[in-house]
Amino acid sequence: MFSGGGPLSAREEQVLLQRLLSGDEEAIRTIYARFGRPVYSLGLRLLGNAEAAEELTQDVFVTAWRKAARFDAARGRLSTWLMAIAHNLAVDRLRRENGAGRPTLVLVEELPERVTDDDVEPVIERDSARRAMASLSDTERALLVRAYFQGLTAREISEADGIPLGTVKTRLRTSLIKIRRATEGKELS
Amino acid sequence: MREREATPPHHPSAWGEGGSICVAVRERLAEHALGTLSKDERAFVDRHLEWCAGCRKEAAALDEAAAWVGLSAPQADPPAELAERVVDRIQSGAGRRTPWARRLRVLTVATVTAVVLAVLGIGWGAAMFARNQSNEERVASAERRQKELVEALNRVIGSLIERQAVGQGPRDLLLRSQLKGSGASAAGAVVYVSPAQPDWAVVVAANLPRAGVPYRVLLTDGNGHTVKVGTIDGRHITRDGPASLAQVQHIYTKQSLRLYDHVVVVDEANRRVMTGLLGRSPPSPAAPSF
Repeated sequence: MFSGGGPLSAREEQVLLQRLLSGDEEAIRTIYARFGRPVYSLGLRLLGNAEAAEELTQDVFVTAWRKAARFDAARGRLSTWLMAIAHNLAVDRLRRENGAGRPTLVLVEELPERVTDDDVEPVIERDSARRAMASLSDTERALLVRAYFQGLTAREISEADGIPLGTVKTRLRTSLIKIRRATEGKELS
Repeated sequence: MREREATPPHHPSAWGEGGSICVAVRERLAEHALGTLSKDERAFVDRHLEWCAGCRKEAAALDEAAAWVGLSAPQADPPAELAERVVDRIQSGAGRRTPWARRLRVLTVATVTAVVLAVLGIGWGAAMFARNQSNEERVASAERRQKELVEALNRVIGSLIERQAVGQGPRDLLLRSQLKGSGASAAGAVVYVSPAQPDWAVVVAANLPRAGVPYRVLLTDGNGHTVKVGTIDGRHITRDGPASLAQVQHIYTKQSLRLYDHVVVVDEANRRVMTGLLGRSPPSPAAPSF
């Protein structure tokens, strides 16, 4: 029903979420097939172990089901929405486990990527992501990594590096805009 | 009169009104997308985005960029059965049954109680140490206590099973352990582990000497991690023996209990008085196999 393996239209995403809301098995499997791997991989990178990543992945899709009525395809892509849920849940989990304050996000060593014929498309997506990150300067890339994967706030980076807060905020914004431009026309799903 | 404390500049209430709020919000959209705003700031930005289309458009672009940052993490394949667990959890929550759920063996209160009692394996007659009671009194006392224990077990296990979708998935486990201590002290434990639902454990301990109260009942793993199932204090242990009442301790938790492999009872001096290894529950004649 949903346009094979290619990107979903906004309308298709909206319909998919409506069906997810009712617990429709095909909808669950379709969404999981498209986003299970990147969500799990993000969990692995942030939380540092497979069991936690598995639990996070389940929590992400259950949260998506619970909040499916609030998803508005006109406001953003399903991929963006799910990755934001994944990131937020991972950070919340780390805050709970490590106590109040900034979570200590774990940077997992680069995992060797196994490529099979079935994996070509996801690897291309990852290549797009990596190329987008590579288009940043070293400073910009490090800044994004510290914020997204290590949970540092702009204020914490500013204080640690002795850079004005406004400058850090501007650099974060500029870096994200560069990523957006580098990935324009490409789809996460 | 006390001076009012200045509002911290980063607190949402200090962000001003009207267009200046948009400026303040847009300054924070990058951090919003990266998930590093404080709870207060995040809530304020989210409320603003509900009605401000301009800020919402920029937020959407930055959120999408952040998603690409997430995708730059090394990709790894989740285990094949994770998909089934996701389907099962959502469908359980939605009140639907997955096809394989119809073939599941069903856990009932009676089934689990039977397993716990079989694991406990305490001979009630032999557990009595009272010297001043006649045989008839001892037997009557033992029967009364066994009845009380079964009723207590039924209540606890009934409440645990009632909280969950009844059933048992392919990765669900019912683990058991039998513990023996010095004298007549003994314990039995059942631990239910499910990747899709909260886990629970029931431990029944009996005939613990008064001298060691309070006792703690723990699950442990091989790496020094423990989770407490319950505490047995002096109120539960009779002064003059007859044998102490068997105590039902239980825990119901979202934390996974899968990695815990021992049940331990420690006394007030943190000495282990009983230990048992958790193993897969074998089939029993009175209950379906797990």
